[in-house]
Amino acid sequence: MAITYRGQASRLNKIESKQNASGFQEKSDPGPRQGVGGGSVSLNQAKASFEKRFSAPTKKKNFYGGEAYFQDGYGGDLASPAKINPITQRSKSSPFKINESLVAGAAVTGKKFVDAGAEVGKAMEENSPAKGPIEPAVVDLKEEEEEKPTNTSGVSKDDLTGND
Amino acid sequence: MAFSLKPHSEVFGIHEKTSQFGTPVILKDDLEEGVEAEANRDGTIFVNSKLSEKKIEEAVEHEKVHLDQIASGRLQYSADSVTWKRDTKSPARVYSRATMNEGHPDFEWEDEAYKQS
Repeated sequence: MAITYRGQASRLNKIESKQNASGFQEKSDPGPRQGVGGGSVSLNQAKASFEKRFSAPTKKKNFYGGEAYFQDGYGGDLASPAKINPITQRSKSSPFKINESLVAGAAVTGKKFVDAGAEVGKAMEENSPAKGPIEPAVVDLKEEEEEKPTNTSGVSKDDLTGND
Repeated sequence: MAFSLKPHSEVFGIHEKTSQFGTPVILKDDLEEGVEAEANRDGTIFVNSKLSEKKIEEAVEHEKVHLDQIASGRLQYSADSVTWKRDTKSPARVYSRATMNEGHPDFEWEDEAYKQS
């Protein structure tokens, strides 16, 4: 199909009007939604999810001292900050705590740190040759030589030479 | 009609003597059993409200060391892990909170806090 000049011009106009639906200073069209969730919620869906909740709402004191119904998670007396137990308590709980029983326990179980180097050093010192009488006593070799007979085999010089 | 206003520390359960700007000390009576105090990453310190004044001061001193460790980037925690980096040269160690004995003095960060406080 041949495209006439007029046809082409009207087509381009359409495209342009689509592309420039909003001026450059106006907020642009957000476009189709990406990702999952966040869409419109129907009342029926909301009712169904509310019914799925496992705990019954309980009547508690609210922050203002009055009473209100609270669903899962919230605990304690909301009127008193010391007793309040917010829904995020679990994630708030810090691991850096002083636990009385743990500190006492560590003291009872004894040493928490053993200096391995010092222990090895001690063991080495006990068996060290410098401490024990391992080195032989000093002997005067000259004296020994003098005491010893020169011939220990029992054969005299004359026997060897054959002189009777 | 006359009415008296409570001081804000009483309303919010704050221990005024040890609290500082940015590190409020909050008195709590629902901490886990045996726990005297705990330092949170948001800079707050929870202290057991049943402790004596002297004990509170000691506990706050200890917890402030942890807050310093967090502020210097050596210590951090999430809901399920604790990350500890002794110094700039040592690698970061990640401990699982499910298996660790939280608050045990043998951990390096606790040992440091006990020595400094």
